[in-house]
Amino acid sequence: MNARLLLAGAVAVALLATPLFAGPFWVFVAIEVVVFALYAASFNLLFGFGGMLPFGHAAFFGLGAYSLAVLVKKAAWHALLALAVAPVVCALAAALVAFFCVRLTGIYLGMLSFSFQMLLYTVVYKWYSLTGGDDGLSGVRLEGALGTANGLYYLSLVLVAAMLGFLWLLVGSPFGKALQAAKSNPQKSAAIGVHVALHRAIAFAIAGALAGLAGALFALANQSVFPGWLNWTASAVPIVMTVLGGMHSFVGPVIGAAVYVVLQTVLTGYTEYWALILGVLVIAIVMLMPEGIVGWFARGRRG
Amino acid sequence: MRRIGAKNAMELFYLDWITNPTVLARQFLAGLSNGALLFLVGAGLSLIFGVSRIINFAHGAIYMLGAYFGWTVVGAASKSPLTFAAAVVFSAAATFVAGAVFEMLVLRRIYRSDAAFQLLVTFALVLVLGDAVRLIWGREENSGSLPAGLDGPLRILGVVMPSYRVFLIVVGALVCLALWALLYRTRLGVLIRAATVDREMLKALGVRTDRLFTLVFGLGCGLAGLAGGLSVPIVAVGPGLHSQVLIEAFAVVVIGGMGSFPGTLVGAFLLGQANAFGVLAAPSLAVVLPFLVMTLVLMFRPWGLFGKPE
Amino acid sequence: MAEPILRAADLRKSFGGLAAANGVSFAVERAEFRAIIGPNGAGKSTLFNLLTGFLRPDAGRVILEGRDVTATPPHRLFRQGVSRTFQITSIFTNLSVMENVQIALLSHRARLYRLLRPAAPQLREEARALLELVGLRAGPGLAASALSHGDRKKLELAVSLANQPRVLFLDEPTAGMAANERLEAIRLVRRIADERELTVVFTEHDMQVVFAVADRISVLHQGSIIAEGRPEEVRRSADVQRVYLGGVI
Repeated sequence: MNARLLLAGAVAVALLATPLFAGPFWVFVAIEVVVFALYAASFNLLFGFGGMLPFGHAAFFGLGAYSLAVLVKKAAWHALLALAVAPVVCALAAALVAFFCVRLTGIYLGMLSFSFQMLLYTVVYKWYSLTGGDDGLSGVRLEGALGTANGLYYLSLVLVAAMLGFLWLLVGSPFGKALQAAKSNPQKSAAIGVHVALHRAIAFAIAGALAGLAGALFALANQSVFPGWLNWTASAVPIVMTVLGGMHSFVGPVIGAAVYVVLQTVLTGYTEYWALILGVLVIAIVMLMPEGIVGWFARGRRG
Repeated sequence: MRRIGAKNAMELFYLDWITNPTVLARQFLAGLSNGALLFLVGAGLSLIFGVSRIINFAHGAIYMLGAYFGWTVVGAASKSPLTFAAAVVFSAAATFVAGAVFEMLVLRRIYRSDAAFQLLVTFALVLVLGDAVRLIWGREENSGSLPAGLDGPLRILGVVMPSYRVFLIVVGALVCLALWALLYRTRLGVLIRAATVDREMLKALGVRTDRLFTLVFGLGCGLAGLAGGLSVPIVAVGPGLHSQVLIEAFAVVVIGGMGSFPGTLVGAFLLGQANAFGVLAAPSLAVVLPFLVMTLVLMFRPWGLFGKPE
Repeated sequence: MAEPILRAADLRKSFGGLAAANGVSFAVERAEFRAIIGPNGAGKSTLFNLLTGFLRPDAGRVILEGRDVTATPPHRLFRQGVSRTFQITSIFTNLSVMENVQIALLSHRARLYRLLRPAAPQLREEARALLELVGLRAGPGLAASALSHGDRKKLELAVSLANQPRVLFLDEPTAGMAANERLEAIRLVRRIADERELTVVFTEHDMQVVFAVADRISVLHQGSIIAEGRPEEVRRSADVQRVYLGGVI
């Protein structure tokens, strides 16, 4: 337990000190790590803890990014206000999708989430006057000290740490335990008074909001948004991160996100065939270490 | 293509063609030929899902692979019908083998794992194939030419159609018949349909399910590859070819009912027609239509028009 | 005579033309220990699911303590003092033994929508008491998936007692147990029921178990109740012997 605390402290110090020794490029990478950690953790609330597998979680990441971008660029809102509103938009959209999703089982839930994502993608792609279509929207800026690379990094770090803390409390709360109970045995959960559909819908809305916050932060970091963030291939990213890190642990997706982002950053510097390497890596993980990095270490420690 | 941004609804909809029988017949046939290709891709996807419960996200990539295979055989210039026929057969056969090999090497080991793993490996295949075609064939978009004899116009239902479109309708119908015969008139078909309903029963009957799964995955991929080979003369064969096909195939299968053969046929027909007429009636909305319909079907009748609730 | 605690009135349910419940009517008195028996396919599971809200009847009523609870969803019935177990032992294998009981207790106290306060320290003593009551000696911190079959049955019983039910439905409470464990298991339930004036409705295959503890027995055959009475009456019934018991006793 002490070793764990020590490790957590070291990680916290390293994260806080990153801008002191890293240049702007690596600070940007660090923002990406932090943002995608939240994105993957929001996915795992549904997947690892809720037993749902939405194929279209990128819908909310993209919706968050576009909500912020449109509010800033088209409605001239202050970026911080837009950052606060974007997750709310996503929570509402997720609740709407959830209303239909949570009654479905397995593959149908996944497909409806996928379908909703493609609908959103197509609308964003086509609605040129609002979304910039294929070109996306650029010049999505946060003015002032928070808008600098370091400012955005600390903003993201604080927000994501707070949200991960919230998720941590959530999965350990009665609500979280009921969600996990419903994953293991929905029928029995109903028999002990759990409103399974409502629990799942609430989880869906929370996960949507957090994915939306991640998307909105990512939009600020890139100072732009692109429709590709909403495309079907984007939805595989949180799934890959979660499985890479380990879906049966709270920190698994966070570690998976960090490894994924760093690996991508390093490898794309050497080769243009990053996707090929990622594909082979994914197949290898699924077949050789299905418990992910965290599970692999845990097993190693047990001997 | 027009973009949404119309000042009022009148600019979104164009219906002046609705009384013109020539236009109606032309769009109907165009939709039929589009539907024929959608059927080939969708039938493979549905077949695989029905038997192994795997959603093959690589289905579009396999289609693309089939197109590249076909393009390689037929080349850019050759108009020989014989070469063309060989190219199409090669597309189907090579993708069949590719699918069967992937099933044996990877999928077979994870049927019992979490559904996320099955999804991930088919997605990984998308990534691998996407880069593989770039490595092998480059980034350019290539176009094949129509084979001699199918490159002219043809008069049918009172309208002049490119004969290749009519050819696609004929091929689609023939494959549909062949698949029907396979599913409903052979022992293999009985097994496939039994597996779609109840996999455990199949095992209880002592069927070698591993061979059946390999065969079905290969067959499904072969159908996608066939569609890819047939598409060579009418599409730009490039690394981005797979995405649109995949999501349209998803729409077909979801609308018809995942795992249902008649459902796939009807779904492909409907989507083909919706594409053909949608582009006339509401060009700016037409692209949204498949996903709108798909979303509505999943919301209110998730098992599709022809599937059964689970 | 007092109003029965549970009454089923002409319950009907068919699946694709096959009547699994074909007009089932019966009443259970307060604190009664009632067995429902019948051959495989008699409709016991369907009847249980109709009574506990897992199935909506095509026709008929379920009256609980004078209130119509027909087709009330299971999660609401739990709050109205109804609890049940399943034929296939149903526990939450991804939670610990303690958490299994805690979650049911938290649900009973309507605390499931607390999103931020940790669940772990809540209602531990109550959970421990329930585990003691059913005689589950395995460590409360143990993963529920690590329990033996008999202990899983005990855990499920403890969980189903968390809402201090007035009516408890047990679907095959001794299924999968060795013959010598079954009597012990059902006597435990009977003892708890007597202490708490709990009404129990259970299905059971083992006739020895049924006749040992049941106050009354209802015999279900092809979706209808064909006989009902005290054990010795049912044992003597010619109808029952003909359709069902002939070979068993």
